[in-house]
Amino acid sequence: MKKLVSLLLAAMMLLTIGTSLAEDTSISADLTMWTGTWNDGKMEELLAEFQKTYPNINVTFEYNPWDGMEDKYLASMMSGTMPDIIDMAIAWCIPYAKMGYLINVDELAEKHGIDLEETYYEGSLETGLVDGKHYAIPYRTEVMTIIYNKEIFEKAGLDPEKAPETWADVVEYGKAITALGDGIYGFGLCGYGSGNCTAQVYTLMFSNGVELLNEDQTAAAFNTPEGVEALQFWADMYLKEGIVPSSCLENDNTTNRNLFAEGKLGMYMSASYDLEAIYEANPDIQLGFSTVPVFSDKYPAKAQAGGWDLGITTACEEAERDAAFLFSAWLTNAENAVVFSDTLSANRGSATDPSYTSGDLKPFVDALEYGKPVPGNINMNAITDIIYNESQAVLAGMKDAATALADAEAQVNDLLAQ
Amino acid sequence: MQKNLIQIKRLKLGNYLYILPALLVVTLVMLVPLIYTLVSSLFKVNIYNNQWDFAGLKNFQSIFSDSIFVLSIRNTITWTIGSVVFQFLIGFLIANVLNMDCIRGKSGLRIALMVPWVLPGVVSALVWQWMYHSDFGIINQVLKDIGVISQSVGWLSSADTAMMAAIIINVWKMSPFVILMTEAALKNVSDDQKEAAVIDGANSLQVFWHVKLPAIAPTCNTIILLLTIWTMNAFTFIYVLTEGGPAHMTEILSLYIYRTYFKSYNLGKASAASTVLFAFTAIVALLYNKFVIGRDQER
Repeated sequence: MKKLVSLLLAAMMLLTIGTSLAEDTSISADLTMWTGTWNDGKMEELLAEFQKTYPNINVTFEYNPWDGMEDKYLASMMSGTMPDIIDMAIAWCIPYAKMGYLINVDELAEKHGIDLEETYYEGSLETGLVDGKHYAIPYRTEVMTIIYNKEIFEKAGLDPEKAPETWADVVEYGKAITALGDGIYGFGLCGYGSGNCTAQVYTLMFSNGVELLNEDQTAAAFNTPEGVEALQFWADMYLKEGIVPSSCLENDNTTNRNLFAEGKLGMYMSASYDLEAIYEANPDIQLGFSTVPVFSDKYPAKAQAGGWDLGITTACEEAERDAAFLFSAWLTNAENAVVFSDTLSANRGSATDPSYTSGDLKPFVDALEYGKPVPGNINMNAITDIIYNESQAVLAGMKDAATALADAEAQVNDLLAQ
Repeated sequence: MQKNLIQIKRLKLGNYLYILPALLVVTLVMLVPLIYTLVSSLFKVNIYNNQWDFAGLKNFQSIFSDSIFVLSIRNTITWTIGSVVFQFLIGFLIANVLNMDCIRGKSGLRIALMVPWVLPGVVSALVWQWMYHSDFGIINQVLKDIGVISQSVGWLSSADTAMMAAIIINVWKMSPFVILMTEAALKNVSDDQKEAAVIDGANSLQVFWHVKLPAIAPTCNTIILLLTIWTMNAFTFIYVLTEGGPAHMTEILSLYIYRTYFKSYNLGKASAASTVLFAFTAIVALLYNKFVIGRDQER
């Protein structure tokens, strides 16, 4: 009898395993997906794994370089030549959804038993949220953090295990580091490259309780005393405090990363995507990390969040939308999103991945809860360009922060009124 | 007689057929975009839903009331005049020196002088960007070493020097073209005329002024016209070096157009600015052609 029970149990277990690994041939589709050139080579391997379960779903990938990617997406939307699935920077999702080019994935998620809010980080999900409905599935996320050189901290008489907690600390530490001389500066400020420059400005603004646009996104909201304080503080690190290299108006994030890797900067602001390049340039460097500092107790730490989402376009035929969703959900599940994202997965389940729970990536995972994306507005590119130019004017000593933000506010309001 | 006329007509028709492919290509790649730009400058275009609303001259009103557009016109004038004057003068001077009989190793010199012109624009701009860099640039280092400056200058990041720095690169890049064209023209000046002038007692300066210069003037005028058109429409150097910054101080019209379309997605306004740039270039070219090149042809 015992033997019979054991055999039955074994048979049930095999049946369960067999069912979970069983092929699902009921769904078939021939999909197209546009993604970045940086995913070339990786996607075919991921698809081969996916097809072990769904052999009748095929996906053809087209890889697009970052330069001109958004232009190509827009052109394809206008000309009706969209693929079924698109891989988008988070800033593009809401505009595309509002233009009616993405489908709402809530029903599909429910049908396939995926609780979006349980599965993905709230901040990441918000990047595809329009009127309470989800139009994108997040997979990659990153939040600005402070990266510092522990060896330089020690040389400057600072505790290498004590990261700056406030922006005032950053200036104080920066002064101690700059006092070392030999071309070493305290902090790497990006005065060049609109995306890099505004990532810093926005982060300081967010950590001082500033919103970029009002709630219904009809007017600028950054021209407040807190906004002016944040921008002036950022510029003063260069103009008054002298803790920033004199070349800051020529330095984008890549230049700052190189300066940091060469031991010429004590601290700079970036995300986990820089780690590989830093270690490649300087394998012996001792890195320290801290979540973005605060201005005061009045506002919590907040930093600009970046990332990428997947969207199913309206060009995807009704009959193939289940397949498109299944592939998107599979790419963004806890296990695969670690590989697919390259940086940090937007799936909560990935937080327990061994690569995230220890080592250098852990502080970046911890920082995710401080992430705040820029508003999902069709004009966000132009708004960023306006704020970039006005920030440069402050750095170049052509305007003070109050004048620059007032000018930026007028330009943004003009733009939003069109 | 009648038969001959028919044959001539057929021949003429045949000639037109020969140029038809070229004509079609020119129409497709030049005329169609030009007309599209002119038409779209009169519309307010929502590129997201491809909705075109007739706006009359509102896009033109909008750009001329935009202080950045006005600044970009001023920058374009500075950029064009600064570049073309020095490109031509330096190129012309070097070509004349190279044309002297006493200069040895001309082939090697010519190859060396052509290097800036044959280098891809983006590569040149990136190399210069590093040379200008405040902290690591060789220019600041050399100037500090010889005591010209005591502190590094932000050549590309200062509103006072960024445009000048960009012009210097453009001059470096395009002077070889002037050298090449001017030298070719100088070689075509008749030896008989030069010898006759010398026999008549003319010195080197007089030979240059009264024989060589009039002979190469048509080539020089064409060079200046080409340089002017190319410089007015230039994009690469400024975009790679400064992206029009700091704070729009080096933003020329081509960058303004790029920014208006690719950052603000405002097709109507970008088309209006393109139309202004086209008109601007066309007027300069037509006037120059009529009064300078036309005069050369009448001689």
